[in-house]
Amino acid sequence: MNIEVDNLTKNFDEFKLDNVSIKVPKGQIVGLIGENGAGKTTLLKCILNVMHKDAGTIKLFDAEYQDTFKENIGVVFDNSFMNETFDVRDINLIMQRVYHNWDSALFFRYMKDYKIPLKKEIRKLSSGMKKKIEIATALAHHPKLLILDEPTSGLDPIIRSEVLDMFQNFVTESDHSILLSTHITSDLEHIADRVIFISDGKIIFDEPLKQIKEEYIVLEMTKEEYAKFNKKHIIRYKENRLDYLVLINKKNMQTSYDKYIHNITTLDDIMLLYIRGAICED
Amino acid sequence: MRGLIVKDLLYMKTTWKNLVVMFIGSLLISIAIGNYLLAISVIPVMLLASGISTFQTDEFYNTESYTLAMPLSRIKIVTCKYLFTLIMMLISTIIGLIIYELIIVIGHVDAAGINVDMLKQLIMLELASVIVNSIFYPVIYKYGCEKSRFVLMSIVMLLLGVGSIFSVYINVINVQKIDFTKYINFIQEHGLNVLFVAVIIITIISYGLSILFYRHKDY
Repeated sequence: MNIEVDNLTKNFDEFKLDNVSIKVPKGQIVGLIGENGAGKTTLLKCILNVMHKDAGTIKLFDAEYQDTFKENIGVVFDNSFMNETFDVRDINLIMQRVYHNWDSALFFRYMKDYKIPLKKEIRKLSSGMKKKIEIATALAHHPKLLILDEPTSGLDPIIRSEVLDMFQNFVTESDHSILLSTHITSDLEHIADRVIFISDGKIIFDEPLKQIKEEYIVLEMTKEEYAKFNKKHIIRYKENRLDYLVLINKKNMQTSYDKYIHNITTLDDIMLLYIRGAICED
Repeated sequence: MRGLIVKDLLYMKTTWKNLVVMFIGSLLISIAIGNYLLAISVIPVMLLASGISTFQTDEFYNTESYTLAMPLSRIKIVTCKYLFTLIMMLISTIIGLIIYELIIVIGHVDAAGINVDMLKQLIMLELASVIVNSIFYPVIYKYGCEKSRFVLMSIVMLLLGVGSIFSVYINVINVQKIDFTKYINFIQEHGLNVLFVAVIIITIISYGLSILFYRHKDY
């Protein structure tokens, strides 16, 4: 395992990351989804020791946490990088003194590929370009593990696709893996091996993406249909003005659901119903 | 560790133009009033003040989390800030000496206006700046840049208040019995040495407190 988190707890005044356990195996991309304030960034920061845990254990590369392990971790935070008055040459100057394995040639190759001007201050670049610099910085010291918080936000679809390809190439090395949190769940549907859904500081599910796609389905039904539907199969439901959206797990269904309208269920649909939907009391 | 020191040194490139303008202004004032200490001291003191500015830019650009994600211990990150201050002190002393020589040699200034005492005063100013930094650093590590200003102002006001009450209390006892001239003479004679020792003690305490606060800080 590249990451093994066991019963991690972090308390804040009005929020608690509650007994969270996750695993990121070698060779896999694990996606972390959840609404704003669900605890995704807190979890990532605890893994990196940017925040202190209150309880639980964190293992990186099959060993107890040590600061030197970060030599093998590439990081992209949602809203934290370097002083934006720097240009990419400054970033290179700094990072080659931070990471033993820093590869200046690789870094500048990324800059060339991404068409990043070398002499322009980061603050004068677009948000997409800034994000590309952050991703290149995370990759240029040949890490084994990437911990990425919203790595594709601000990127246009073409660059996003390139970046996602890059992530997929990264895990072709058998000991590499990625833990990434994102709001753009469609990204995960293309690349993730496993998806962890976190809400209000708790893990709601942690399952292989294939299994999620196979098992979860959102049905649209009229009020009459909903009234007749066996409520024990309902994970969550949401009442709209004219119809009901119902989240079910197909493997629990003995009867056919084909008579109900059901489109391809996305991670967004599932997340939305878990967060906004209600639990059936019947 | 060198990476973080380079990061803070690189920050200086954004401020050098302001420093040059400040120096020109202070030099003109110095010529007008005939006191060259101002011209000699403004740049070194500003350079030392940059230590606190690096914290402000770190906070402004939210770089703290990213720094902690680097393969460095928290102790090393704190050590970098103090090493940066030490480097800035060395650089500022060299710049102070260069300016001193420039004023004498190029400026054809009356040497009586510039003397060794002035250099001593420059070094004392620098040491005083280091003390100010050493007071600020742990408070910044504890409260962050924004809040630390108010925290320090509150402490200063509290100390002034307590000091005022204390001075009244001393006056009530018998202030005439205290020989202040003795202390003033001592400071004039040994001021630099005293300040030097004070800087070392305060810096060591400051470093210890900074590590203590930073170890427990979440970003």
